Amino acid sequence: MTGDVFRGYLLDGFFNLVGAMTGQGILLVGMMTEAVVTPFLSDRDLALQNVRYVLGAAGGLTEDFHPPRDGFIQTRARQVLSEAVELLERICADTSADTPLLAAIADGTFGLMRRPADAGKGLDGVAERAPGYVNPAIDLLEEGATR
Amino acid sequence: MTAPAHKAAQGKTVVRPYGDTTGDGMVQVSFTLPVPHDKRAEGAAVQLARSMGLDPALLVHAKAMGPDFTFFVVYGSVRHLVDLSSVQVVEREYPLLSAKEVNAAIRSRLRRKLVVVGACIGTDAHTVGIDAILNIKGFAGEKGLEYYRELTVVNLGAQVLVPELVERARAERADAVLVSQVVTQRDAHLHNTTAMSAAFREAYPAGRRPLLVVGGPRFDEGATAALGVDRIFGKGTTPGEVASYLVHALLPPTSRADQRKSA
Repeated sequence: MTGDVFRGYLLDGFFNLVGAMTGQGILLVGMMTEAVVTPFLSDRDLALQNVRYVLGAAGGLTEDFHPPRDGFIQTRARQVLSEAVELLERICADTSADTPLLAAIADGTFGLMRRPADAGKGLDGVAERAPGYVNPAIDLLEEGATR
Repeated sequence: MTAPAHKAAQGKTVVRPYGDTTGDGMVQVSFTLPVPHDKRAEGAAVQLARSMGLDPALLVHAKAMGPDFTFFVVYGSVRHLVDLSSVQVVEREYPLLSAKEVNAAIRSRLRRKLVVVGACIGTDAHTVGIDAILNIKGFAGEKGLEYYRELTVVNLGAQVLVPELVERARAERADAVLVSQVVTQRDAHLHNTTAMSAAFREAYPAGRRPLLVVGGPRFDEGATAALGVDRIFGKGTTPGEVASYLVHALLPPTSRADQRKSA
Protein backbone atom coordinates (compact mmCIF):
# COMPACT_ATOMS: atom_id res chain seq x y z
CA MET A 1 0.00 0.00 0.00
CA THR A 2 1.33 3.46 -0.82
CA GLY A 3 0.62 6.60 1.19
CA ASP A 4 -2.21 7.41 -1.24
CA VAL A 5 -4.88 6.11 1.12
CA PHE A 6 -7.72 7.08 -1.21
CA ARG A 7 -6.35 4.94 -4.01
CA GLY A 8 -5.63 2.22 -1.46
CA TYR A 9 -9.25 2.20 -0.34
CA LEU A 10 -10.40 1.73 -3.94
CA LEU A 11 -7.83 -1.01 -4.51
CA ASP A 12 -9.06 -2.83 -1.40
CA GLY A 13 -12.60 -2.50 -2.73
CA PHE A 14 -11.55 -4.14 -6.01
CA PHE A 15 -9.95 -7.02 -4.14
CA ASN A 16 -13.11 -7.41 -2.07
CA LEU A 17 -15.14 -7.41 -5.29
CA VAL A 18 -13.05 -10.22 -6.73
CA GLY A 19 -13.47 -12.15 -3.48
CA ALA A 20 -17.22 -11.62 -3.57
CA MET A 21 -17.64 -12.55 -7.24
CA THR A 22 -15.61 -15.72 -6.88
CA GLY A 23 -17.48 -16.75 -3.73
CA GLN A 24 -14.54 -16.86 -1.35
CA GLY A 25 -15.37 -18.17 2.13
CA ILE A 26 -12.52 -16.21 3.66
CA LEU A 27 -11.62 -12.65 2.65
CA LEU A 28 -8.23 -11.27 3.53
CA VAL A 29 -9.19 -7.71 4.41
CA GLY A 30 -6.85 -5.02 3.12
CA MET A 31 -6.45 -1.76 4.99
CA MET A 32 -5.61 1.55 3.40
CA THR A 33 -2.79 2.41 5.81
CA GLU A 34 -1.15 -1.03 5.75
CA ALA A 35 2.64 -0.43 5.66
CA VAL A 36 2.09 3.34 5.95
CA VAL A 37 1.42 3.56 9.66
CA THR A 38 0.14 0.88 12.01
CA PRO A 39 -3.50 0.93 10.90
CA PHE A 40 -5.72 3.14 13.03
CA LEU A 41 -8.89 1.86 14.66
CA SER A 42 -10.78 3.88 12.05
CA ASP A 43 -8.84 2.22 9.20
CA ARG A 44 -9.92 -1.18 10.51
CA ASP A 45 -13.52 -0.01 10.75
CA LEU A 46 -13.41 1.48 7.24
CA ALA A 47 -11.87 -1.74 5.91
CA LEU A 48 -14.74 -3.78 7.35
CA GLN A 49 -17.29 -1.28 6.00
CA ASN A 50 -15.65 -1.73 2.60
CA VAL A 51 -16.10 -5.52 2.80
CA ARG A 52 -19.70 -5.25 3.98
CA TYR A 53 -20.59 -2.76 1.27
CA VAL A 54 -19.09 -4.89 -1.50
CA LEU A 55 -20.58 -8.14 -0.20
CA GLY A 56 -23.97 -6.44 0.19
CA ALA A 57 -23.90 -4.80 -3.23
CA ALA A 58 -22.20 -7.51 -5.30
CA GLY A 59 -22.19 -10.70 -3.22
CA GLY A 60 -24.99 -12.16 -5.35
CA LEU A 61 -22.93 -11.82 -8.53
CA THR A 62 -21.04 -15.02 -7.76
CA GLU A 63 -23.78 -17.20 -9.28
CA ASP A 64 -23.63 -15.23 -12.55
CA PHE A 65 -19.85 -15.03 -12.73
CA HIS A 66 -18.64 -17.55 -15.31
CA PRO A 67 -15.42 -16.47 -17.01
CA PRO A 68 -15.54 -17.62 -20.66
CA ARG A 69 -13.61 -20.76 -21.55
CA ASP A 70 -10.01 -19.93 -22.55
CA GLY A 71 -10.63 -16.26 -21.86
CA PHE A 72 -8.18 -13.97 -20.07
CA ILE A 73 -9.13 -15.11 -16.56
CA GLN A 74 -9.04 -18.85 -17.25
CA THR A 75 -5.77 -18.59 -19.15
CA ARG A 76 -4.16 -16.59 -16.39
CA ALA A 77 -5.46 -18.97 -13.71
CA ARG A 78 -4.08 -21.96 -15.59
CA GLN A 79 -0.70 -20.27 -15.97
CA VAL A 80 -0.43 -19.37 -12.27
CA LEU A 81 -1.56 -22.84 -11.19
CA SER A 82 0.84 -24.64 -13.49
CA GLU A 83 3.74 -22.42 -12.40
CA ALA A 84 2.90 -23.21 -8.77
CA VAL A 85 2.82 -26.94 -9.50
CA GLU A 86 6.11 -26.71 -11.40
CA LEU A 87 7.72 -24.85 -8.52
CA LEU A 88 6.56 -27.46 -5.99
CA GLU A 89 7.76 -30.29 -8.25
CA ARG A 90 11.13 -28.61 -8.56
CA ILE A 91 11.33 -28.31 -4.76
CA CYS A 92 10.33 -31.96 -4.27
CA ALA A 93 12.97 -33.04 -6.77
CA ASP A 94 15.72 -31.13 -4.94
CA THR A 95 17.98 -33.85 -3.55
CA SER A 96 20.63 -31.48 -2.15
CA ALA A 97 18.65 -30.98 1.08
CA ASP A 98 17.13 -33.48 3.53
CA THR A 99 14.04 -31.36 3.86
CA PRO A 100 13.63 -29.62 0.51
CA LEU A 101 10.55 -27.64 1.54
CA LEU A 102 12.31 -26.15 4.57
CA ALA A 103 15.34 -25.42 2.42
CA ALA A 104 13.13 -23.62 -0.09
CA ILE A 105 11.53 -21.57 2.69
CA ALA A 106 15.00 -20.72 4.02
CA ASP A 107 16.12 -19.53 0.56
CA GLY A 108 13.29 -17.06 0.21
CA THR A 109 11.56 -19.05 -2.53
CA PHE A 110 8.17 -17.88 -1.27
CA GLY A 111 7.50 -14.16 -1.41
CA LEU A 112 11.28 -13.50 -1.33
CA MET A 113 11.06 -13.83 2.47
CA ARG A 114 14.08 -15.76 3.73
CA ARG A 115 13.34 -17.90 6.79
CA PRO A 116 16.39 -20.08 7.54
CA ALA A 117 15.70 -22.99 9.91
CA ASP A 118 18.60 -21.96 12.17
CA ALA A 119 17.68 -18.25 12.37
CA GLY A 120 14.76 -16.51 14.01
CA LYS A 121 13.89 -16.98 17.65
CA GLY A 122 12.98 -20.67 17.61
CA LEU A 123 11.32 -21.89 20.77
CA ASP A 124 12.23 -18.62 22.51
CA GLY A 125 9.57 -16.97 20.40
CA VAL A 126 6.84 -19.37 21.52
CA ALA A 127 4.93 -19.13 24.79
CA GLU A 128 3.04 -22.05 26.29
CA ARG A 129 -0.63 -21.44 26.99
CA ALA A 130 -1.22 -20.95 30.70
CA PRO A 131 -4.04 -22.87 32.39
CA GLY A 132 -7.19 -20.81 32.02
CA TYR A 133 -5.94 -19.17 28.78
CA VAL A 134 -8.76 -17.29 27.07
CA ASN A 135 -8.78 -15.84 23.58
CA PRO A 136 -12.26 -14.58 22.74
CA ALA A 137 -11.46 -14.49 19.01
CA ILE A 138 -10.55 -18.18 18.94
CA ASP A 139 -13.67 -19.04 20.98
CA LEU A 140 -15.86 -17.15 18.50
CA LEU A 141 -14.18 -18.79 15.50
CA GLU A 142 -14.54 -22.26 16.98
CA GLU A 143 -18.24 -21.86 17.66
CA GLY A 144 -18.64 -20.60 14.09
CA ALA A 145 -19.90 -17.14 14.99
CA THR A 146 -20.17 -14.79 12.03
CA ARG A 147 -20.22 -11.35 13.68
CA MET B 1 22.82 20.03 5.29
CA THR B 2 19.77 22.25 5.59
CA ALA B 3 19.02 24.75 2.88
CA PRO B 4 16.20 27.11 2.00
CA ALA B 5 13.50 25.75 -0.29
CA HIS B 6 14.13 25.67 -3.98
CA LYS B 7 14.75 29.00 -5.68
CA ALA B 8 12.04 28.48 -8.27
CA ALA B 9 9.37 28.71 -5.59
CA GLN B 10 10.62 31.98 -4.24
CA GLY B 11 8.52 34.23 -6.46
CA LYS B 12 5.59 33.43 -4.20
CA THR B 13 6.96 32.91 -0.73
CA VAL B 14 3.83 32.67 1.44
CA VAL B 15 1.39 29.88 0.63
CA ARG B 16 -1.73 28.37 2.15
CA PRO B 17 -3.69 25.25 1.22
CA TYR B 18 -5.69 25.30 -2.01
CA GLY B 19 -9.20 23.82 -2.00
CA ASP B 20 -10.95 25.17 -5.07
CA THR B 21 -9.87 28.82 -5.09
CA THR B 22 -6.60 30.58 -4.37
CA GLY B 23 -6.10 31.37 -0.72
CA ASP B 24 -9.16 29.54 0.62
CA GLY B 25 -6.94 27.48 2.94
CA MET B 26 -9.25 24.46 2.76
CA VAL B 27 -8.05 21.16 4.25
CA GLN B 28 -9.62 17.90 5.29
CA VAL B 29 -8.81 15.88 8.37
CA SER B 30 -10.17 12.67 9.81
CA PHE B 31 -9.70 11.33 13.30
CA THR B 32 -11.23 9.20 16.01
CA LEU B 33 -12.23 10.28 19.51
CA PRO B 34 -12.63 7.70 22.27
CA VAL B 35 -16.20 8.74 23.09
CA PRO B 36 -19.66 7.41 22.16
CA HIS B 37 -21.30 9.17 19.21
CA ASP B 38 -23.62 11.92 20.44
CA LYS B 39 -24.03 15.70 20.21
CA ARG B 40 -21.22 16.30 22.69
CA ALA B 41 -18.83 14.09 20.70
CA GLU B 42 -19.55 16.12 17.57
CA GLY B 43 -18.98 19.35 19.51
CA ALA B 44 -15.70 17.96 20.79
CA ALA B 45 -14.59 17.14 17.24
CA VAL B 46 -15.32 20.68 16.06
CA GLN B 47 -13.50 22.12 19.06
CA LEU B 48 -10.45 19.96 18.35
CA ALA B 49 -10.47 21.00 14.70
CA ARG B 50 -10.61 24.66 15.75
CA SER B 51 -7.62 24.15 18.04
CA MET B 52 -5.83 22.66 15.04
CA GLY B 53 -6.32 25.96 13.23
CA LEU B 54 -9.43 25.12 11.19
CA ASP B 55 -11.80 28.07 11.26
CA PRO B 56 -14.58 27.67 10.35
CA ALA B 57 -14.50 23.89 10.96
CA LEU B 58 -17.14 21.94 9.07
CA LEU B 59 -18.03 18.54 10.54
CA VAL B 60 -19.11 16.58 7.44
CA HIS B 61 -19.15 13.03 8.81
CA ALA B 62 -19.47 11.40 12.22
CA LYS B 63 -19.98 7.68 12.72
CA ALA B 64 -19.98 5.44 15.76
CA MET B 65 -17.38 2.67 15.77
CA GLY B 66 -18.72 0.35 18.41
CA PRO B 67 -20.12 1.81 21.64
CA ASP B 68 -16.99 3.69 22.73
CA PHE B 69 -15.47 5.39 19.69
CA THR B 70 -16.53 7.86 17.02
CA PHE B 71 -14.92 8.58 13.67
CA PHE B 72 -15.02 12.11 12.24
CA VAL B 73 -14.26 13.81 8.96
CA VAL B 74 -13.83 17.58 9.18
CA TYR B 75 -13.30 20.12 6.42
CA GLY B 76 -12.28 23.67 7.11
CA SER B 77 -10.18 26.67 6.27
CA VAL B 78 -6.85 26.62 8.03
CA ARG B 79 -5.53 29.84 9.51
CA HIS B 80 -1.86 28.94 9.20
CA LEU B 81 0.47 30.06 6.43
CA VAL B 82 3.77 28.66 5.23
CA ASP B 83 6.66 30.94 4.36
CA LEU B 84 8.56 28.98 1.71
CA SER B 85 11.77 30.92 2.32
CA SER B 86 11.97 29.53 5.86
CA VAL B 87 11.30 25.86 4.99
CA GLN B 88 14.18 23.61 6.06
CA VAL B 89 14.88 20.39 4.17
CA VAL B 90 17.78 17.96 3.99
CA GLU B 91 19.33 18.30 0.54
CA ARG B 92 21.50 15.59 -0.94
CA GLU B 93 25.06 16.90 -0.47
CA TYR B 94 26.77 14.23 -2.58
CA PRO B 95 26.68 13.40 -6.29
CA LEU B 96 24.35 10.67 -7.52
CA LEU B 97 26.47 7.93 -9.09
CA SER B 98 25.56 5.11 -11.45
CA ALA B 99 26.22 1.51 -10.38
CA LYS B 100 29.26 1.52 -12.66
CA GLU B 101 30.66 4.67 -11.06
CA VAL B 102 30.04 3.30 -7.57
CA ASN B 103 31.93 0.10 -8.43
CA ALA B 104 34.80 2.04 -10.01
CA ALA B 105 35.08 4.36 -7.01
CA ILE B 106 35.23 1.44 -4.56
CA ARG B 107 37.77 -0.42 -6.72
CA SER B 108 40.14 2.52 -7.05
CA ARG B 109 39.75 4.16 -3.66
CA LEU B 110 39.02 1.31 -1.23
CA ARG B 111 40.81 -1.51 -3.11
CA ARG B 112 38.58 -4.14 -1.52
CA LYS B 113 34.89 -4.89 -1.44
CA LEU B 114 32.73 -2.64 0.68
CA VAL B 115 30.70 -4.69 3.16
CA VAL B 116 27.08 -3.83 3.92
CA VAL B 117 24.98 -5.63 6.51
CA GLY B 118 21.23 -4.95 6.43
CA ALA B 119 18.28 -5.94 8.59
CA CYS B 120 14.85 -5.08 9.90
CA ILE B 121 15.19 -4.96 13.68
CA GLY B 122 12.70 -5.35 16.51
CA THR B 123 9.42 -7.15 15.87
CA ASP B 124 9.08 -5.47 12.49
CA ALA B 125 8.45 -8.14 9.85
CA HIS B 126 8.20 -5.73 6.89
CA THR B 127 11.23 -6.49 4.76
CA VAL B 128 9.84 -4.42 1.88
CA GLY B 129 12.15 -1.48 2.67
CA ILE B 130 15.43 -3.32 3.20
CA ASP B 131 14.69 -5.57 0.22
CA ALA B 132 13.97 -2.58 -2.01
CA ILE B 133 17.46 -1.26 -1.25
CA LEU B 134 19.43 -4.52 -1.03
CA ASN B 135 17.63 -7.09 -3.15
CA ILE B 136 18.86 -7.51 -6.68
CA LYS B 137 15.33 -6.82 -7.90
CA GLY B 138 15.59 -3.36 -6.38
CA PHE B 139 13.04 -0.59 -6.44
CA ALA B 140 11.58 1.86 -8.95
CA GLY B 141 13.45 0.21 -11.82
CA GLU B 142 16.83 0.47 -10.07
CA LYS B 143 18.70 -2.67 -9.10
CA GLY B 144 19.50 -3.15 -5.40
CA LEU B 145 22.92 -3.13 -3.77
CA GLU B 146 23.35 -6.91 -4.27
CA TYR B 147 23.75 -6.06 -7.95
CA TYR B 148 26.84 -3.90 -7.30
CA ARG B 149 29.92 -6.02 -7.97
CA GLU B 150 32.10 -4.18 -5.46
CA LEU B 151 29.62 -4.46 -2.60
CA THR B 152 29.33 -7.50 -0.35
CA VAL B 153 25.77 -7.50 0.90
CA VAL B 154 24.51 -9.51 3.86
CA ASN B 155 20.74 -9.19 4.22
CA LEU B 156 19.69 -10.63 7.58
CA GLY B 157 15.98 -10.21 6.85
CA ALA B 158 13.31 -9.44 9.42
CA GLN B 159 12.93 -9.51 13.20
CA VAL B 160 16.65 -9.43 13.85
CA LEU B 161 17.67 -8.74 17.45
CA VAL B 162 20.09 -5.86 18.03
CA PRO B 163 22.82 -8.04 19.63
CA GLU B 164 22.58 -10.42 16.66
CA LEU B 165 22.99 -7.49 14.28
CA VAL B 166 26.04 -6.15 16.14
CA GLU B 167 27.63 -9.60 16.26
CA ARG B 168 27.03 -10.19 12.56
CA ALA B 169 28.31 -6.73 11.63
CA ARG B 170 31.50 -7.47 13.53
CA ALA B 171 31.91 -10.96 12.05
CA GLU B 172 31.46 -9.62 8.52
CA ARG B 173 33.67 -6.55 9.23
CA ALA B 174 30.83 -4.38 8.01
CA ASP B 175 31.66 -0.95 6.65
CA ALA B 176 28.03 0.05 6.86
CA VAL B 177 24.93 -1.23 8.62
CA LEU B 178 21.56 -0.56 7.01
CA VAL B 179 18.46 -0.85 9.16
CA SER B 180 14.90 -0.56 7.93
CA GLN B 181 11.94 0.29 10.14
CA VAL B 182 8.41 0.35 8.82
CA VAL B 183 6.26 -0.30 11.89
CA THR B 184 5.71 2.87 13.93
CA GLN B 185 3.38 1.60 16.66
CA ARG B 186 4.21 3.45 19.92
CA ASP B 187 7.23 4.99 18.16
CA ALA B 188 8.84 1.53 17.87
CA HIS B 189 10.96 2.75 14.93
CA LEU B 190 12.56 5.46 17.09
CA HIS B 191 13.12 3.23 20.12
CA ASN B 192 14.57 0.43 18.01
CA THR B 193 16.90 2.81 16.20
CA THR B 194 18.25 4.45 19.36
CA ALA B 195 18.73 1.01 20.97
CA MET B 196 20.61 -0.12 17.86
CA SER B 197 22.92 2.92 17.69
CA ALA B 198 23.62 2.67 21.43
CA ALA B 199 24.57 -1.00 21.08
CA PHE B 200 27.01 -0.17 18.27
CA ARG B 201 28.54 2.67 20.30
CA GLU B 202 29.06 0.26 23.17
CA ALA B 203 30.45 -2.58 21.07
CA TYR B 204 33.01 -0.60 19.08
CA PRO B 205 35.81 1.73 20.13
CA ALA B 206 35.02 5.39 19.47
CA GLY B 207 35.31 6.28 15.80
CA ARG B 208 35.60 2.66 14.68
CA ARG B 209 31.96 1.62 14.41
CA PRO B 210 30.44 0.98 10.99
CA LEU B 211 28.45 3.70 9.30
CA LEU B 212 24.87 3.49 10.60
CA VAL B 213 22.10 4.16 8.11
CA VAL B 214 18.38 3.83 8.83
CA GLY B 215 15.48 4.05 6.46
CA GLY B 216 11.73 4.05 6.69
CA PRO B 217 8.71 6.01 5.60
CA ARG B 218 8.08 7.77 8.91
CA PHE B 219 11.52 9.02 9.91
CA ASP B 220 12.47 12.69 10.10
CA GLU B 221 15.53 12.93 7.86
CA GLY B 222 16.99 15.67 10.08
CA ALA B 223 16.96 13.57 13.26
CA THR B 224 20.33 11.81 12.80
CA ALA B 225 21.89 13.29 15.96
CA ALA B 226 18.87 12.46 18.12
CA LEU B 227 18.86 8.85 16.92
CA GLY B 228 22.64 8.42 17.02
CA VAL B 229 22.97 7.39 13.38
CA ASP B 230 24.88 8.78 10.40
CA ARG B 231 22.09 9.05 7.90
CA ILE B 232 18.33 8.71 7.67
CA PHE B 233 16.60 7.93 4.40
CA GLY B 234 12.89 8.57 3.98
CA LYS B 235 10.13 7.35 1.72
CA GLY B 236 10.94 6.78 -1.94
CA THR B 237 14.71 6.40 -1.48
CA THR B 238 16.31 4.39 -4.29
CA PRO B 239 19.26 1.96 -4.06
CA GLY B 240 21.37 4.33 -6.15
CA GLU B 241 20.99 7.13 -3.61
CA VAL B 242 22.08 4.81 -0.80
CA ALA B 243 25.06 3.44 -2.78
CA SER B 244 26.15 6.97 -3.70
CA TYR B 245 25.91 7.99 -0.06
CA LEU B 246 28.07 5.02 1.01
CA VAL B 247 30.74 6.07 -1.48
CA HIS B 248 30.54 9.66 -0.27
CA ALA B 249 30.69 8.78 3.42
CA LEU B 250 33.06 5.81 3.52
CA LEU B 251 35.66 6.20 0.81
CA PRO B 252 38.85 8.18 1.28
CA PRO B 253 38.90 11.21 -1.03
CA THR B 254 40.23 10.42 -4.48
CA SER B 255 43.82 11.47 -4.87
CA ARG B 256 43.54 11.66 -8.64
CA ALA B 257 40.77 14.25 -8.45
CA ASP B 258 42.88 16.31 -6.05
CA GLN B 259 45.81 16.23 -8.43
CA ARG B 260 43.60 17.26 -11.29
CA LYS B 261 42.33 20.19 -9.26
CA SER B 262 45.83 21.39 -8.34
CA ALA B 263 47.17 20.92 -11.86
